[in-house]
Amino acid sequence: MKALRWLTLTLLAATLMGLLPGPSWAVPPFARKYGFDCTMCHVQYPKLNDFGQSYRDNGYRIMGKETLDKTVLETAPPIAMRTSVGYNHDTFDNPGGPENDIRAFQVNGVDSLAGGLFSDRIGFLAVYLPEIAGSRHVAAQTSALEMANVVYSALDAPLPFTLRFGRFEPAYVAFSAKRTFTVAPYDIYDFAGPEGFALADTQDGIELARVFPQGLKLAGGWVNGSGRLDDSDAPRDFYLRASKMLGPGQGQVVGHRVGAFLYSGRARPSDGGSREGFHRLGLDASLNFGQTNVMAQYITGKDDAALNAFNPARDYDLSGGFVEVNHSLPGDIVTFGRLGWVNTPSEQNHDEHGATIGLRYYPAVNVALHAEFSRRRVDRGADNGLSDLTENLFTTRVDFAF
Amino acid sequence: MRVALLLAAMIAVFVSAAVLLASDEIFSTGPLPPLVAPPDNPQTDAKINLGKQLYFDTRLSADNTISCATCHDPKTGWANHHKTDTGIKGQVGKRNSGSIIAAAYMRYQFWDGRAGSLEQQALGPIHNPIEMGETLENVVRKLTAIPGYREEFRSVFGKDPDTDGIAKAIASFERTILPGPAPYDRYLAGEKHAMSASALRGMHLFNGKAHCSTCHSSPAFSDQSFHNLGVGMSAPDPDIGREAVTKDPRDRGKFKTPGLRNVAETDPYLHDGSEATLMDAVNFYDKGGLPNSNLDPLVQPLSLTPREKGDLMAFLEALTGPVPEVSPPVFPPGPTPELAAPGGAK
Repeated sequence: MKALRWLTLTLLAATLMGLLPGPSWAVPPFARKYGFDCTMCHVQYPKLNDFGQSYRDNGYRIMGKETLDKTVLETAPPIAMRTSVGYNHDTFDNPGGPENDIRAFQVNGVDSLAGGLFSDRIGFLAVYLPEIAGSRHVAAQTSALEMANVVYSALDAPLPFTLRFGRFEPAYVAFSAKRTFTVAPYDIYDFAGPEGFALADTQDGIELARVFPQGLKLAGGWVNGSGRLDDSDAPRDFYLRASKMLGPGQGQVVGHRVGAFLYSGRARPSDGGSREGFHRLGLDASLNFGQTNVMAQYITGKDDAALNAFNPARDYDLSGGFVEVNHSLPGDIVTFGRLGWVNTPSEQNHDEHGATIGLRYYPAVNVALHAEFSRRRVDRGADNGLSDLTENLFTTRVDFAF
Repeated sequence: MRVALLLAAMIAVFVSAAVLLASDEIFSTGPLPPLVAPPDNPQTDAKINLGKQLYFDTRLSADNTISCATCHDPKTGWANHHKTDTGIKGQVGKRNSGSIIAAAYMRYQFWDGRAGSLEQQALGPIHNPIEMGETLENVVRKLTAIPGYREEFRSVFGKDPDTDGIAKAIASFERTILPGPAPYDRYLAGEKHAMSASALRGMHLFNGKAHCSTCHSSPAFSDQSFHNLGVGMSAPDPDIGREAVTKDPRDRGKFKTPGLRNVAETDPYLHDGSEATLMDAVNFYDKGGLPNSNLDPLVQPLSLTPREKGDLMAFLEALTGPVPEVSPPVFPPGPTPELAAPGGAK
C-alpha cells in the first residue's frame, strides 16, 4: 500500500509539473549545440530514435551537414549531467543471506557526460561517474570512467567507415543498456560466467564500422574483453556484427531491424592456466508497429571446459535473452515491459528470470518521472542448500539531464 | 555533504555553460533581422514604385498576358494555389510557384537555385519560353517605347530602360514583400501567449522529433541549401533539380529548402506542388520522403501521431505574419493600354 501511495504521489506531482508553463531551459550538449530539442535524437531520452542512431553512426555529426558543425573549441564546454532522485522500495527474499531491504528516498547516482567534435572528422564521447559513498539515502556509486572514446569518421572516403577507439559501447550491444528506459539492467549482457567473463555493455578497444546502402551495417572490433586480463596480456577478443534495416528508418522507432553477432575471445582461468576460448552468438530484432517498439535479443554461448569452474570436465553452455516492448502514449508518456532470462548449465543451476514493467512521463523534454516495478528471481544451486533469491524493486524517481 | 557540494558545483558549471551556449546554436531560428539591400541596388521609393509597376505589368510577356503577379499573386500569399502554373500560350510549367514573401532573405532563387540574387531571378521568367516567353531585348524595346517608363527609368537610373534596371527595380519591389511579426516572433519577443499550447508543442516537435529544423533553420526557416526528398524521382524523365545547375550527379533530385514564413498561405507544397495541403506535406515528411538512390539522409520517417501532426500544423500556422497590402499600380499608358490597366494586373 505504501508503494501505491508513493506511485500516486509521484503521478500527482508529474501532473502538476506538466501543467507548469514555459519551455525547458536546458538540454544536454549535443542538442544545445545545434539548438535542437532532445527529441531530435531521442524517442524520449535516453532511448535513441532513428535520427539519433544515424547521428551516432555518423561520428556525432549531422548527416549531410558535416561542414556546418562546430568543434569543442568553437562552442562552450560540451558537458552535461544526468541524475535521478526518487523513492526506492527494494525488498529481497534471500533465505540464508543478507536482505538489506531499502525503503527510502535516494539519490540514484550521477553521470557526467562530455561529447562533441575535435575536428570535422573526429568526435568524442566521455561518461564519468564520480565516487559516491553509499548511505541510507544515497545509492553508492563507484567512481568509473564508463566511456571515453574517440570516433574518426571517413564517410566521404571511397570506402566510408567510422573508427571508434577507447572505451565505448560495442556494436554487438543491440539494445543500449545506457539508453534504455528501464532501471533494471539487461541481465544477459551483464551475466558473468564461472570465470567472471561477461559480454558487458562497454569495452576497451577499437571498432570499425560501415553503413552500406540498403540499410546494411557491419561492424567489427578488437577489445580487451571483460574477463581476467593482466596489462601484459594482449587482448584476444574479437567480434563481428551485422544488422539489416527492413524498410525505412533504423528500426529504432520506424521500420524493422534484424541483427546477429559473433563474439570470440580467450580468457585465462583463475588458476592461472593458459588462455582458453569462449564465444557468444547473438540474434536480435527490433520491430516497430505504430508507436510500439518490440525488441528481442537471444544469446547463446559456450566457454571452454577449462573455464568451467563448476565442471571442468565439460564446456560451459549458457543462453538467455529478453523481449521488451516500449509503447508511446499521447501526452508524453512511455510505457515499457520486459521479460528476461539467463539459463545456465545444470551443474551451476544459476538461472535468472526477470520481469519489469513501468512508465515514464516527461513534463519537460529533459525530465522524466519514472515509475518501475521489477521482479527478479535467481536460482541457486540445490547442492549448496540455499533457496532461490527473489528481489522486488519498486522505484519512483525523477530522472533528469541537463 | 560532499555529494551536495559536488552536485552544487556541477549544476553551477552546467548552468553557466547553458547560458554561454544560448547564442551558439547551429540550427537556430528566430526573428527576421533587418534586411540589407545590395550596395549596388539600394532601396529608393521611386525604384520600388517602378519595380511594382513592372511586377504587375503583363506587357513584359511575349503576348502581353502574363506578369510576375500572375504566378506570384498577392491575393494568394504572393504565390499561387495551382500545382504548377500556366505561362503564355497555355504552356504548363513543371514546378510550383514559390512565394516571394521574404524571398529577399534567400541566398538562392528558383527551386534549383540557379539565381544567386533577386536581381538575377527577376529576369528569368521573362525570357523563359514557357512562362512569359519574351526576349530581354524585346522587353527593353517595349518599355523604351512607353514614354512613362522611359521617364521613370531615366529618373531612377539616369538612363533608358535596360535589363539591369528592370532587374534592379523588380528586385527592389520584392524586397518590400516582407512579413511582419508572426505569433512565433511575438512569442520569442516575450509575448508568452502569442502562440497556442498546441503551437508551442509543435515548436518543440519542429526542433525535435519532426526533424524540421535540420533543414528549415535560420530566421527565414531555410538552411539555404538543397535536398533530395525523392519527389518525382521515379518518373521516366525526372526533374533533376540542382544537378542541372551544378552538373554534379550528387545533386540529382535536390531542390532548395524553401523558407517557411507564411507557409500556411502558400499551398500547394513541394517543388512540383504535389502536396496539396500543409497537412499533406506533413504526412509526406512523416513517411520519410520517397526512396531513391540520392535520398537525403536527413529525411527519415518520423512516426508522428495525429496529435503531433496537428501541433506541428499549429506551429507552422504561427509563422504567418502580416504582409503589407499592395495596391494595384497605375501603369504608364503604352501600346497595349487595355492590358496595362489596373484591372489587367494578375
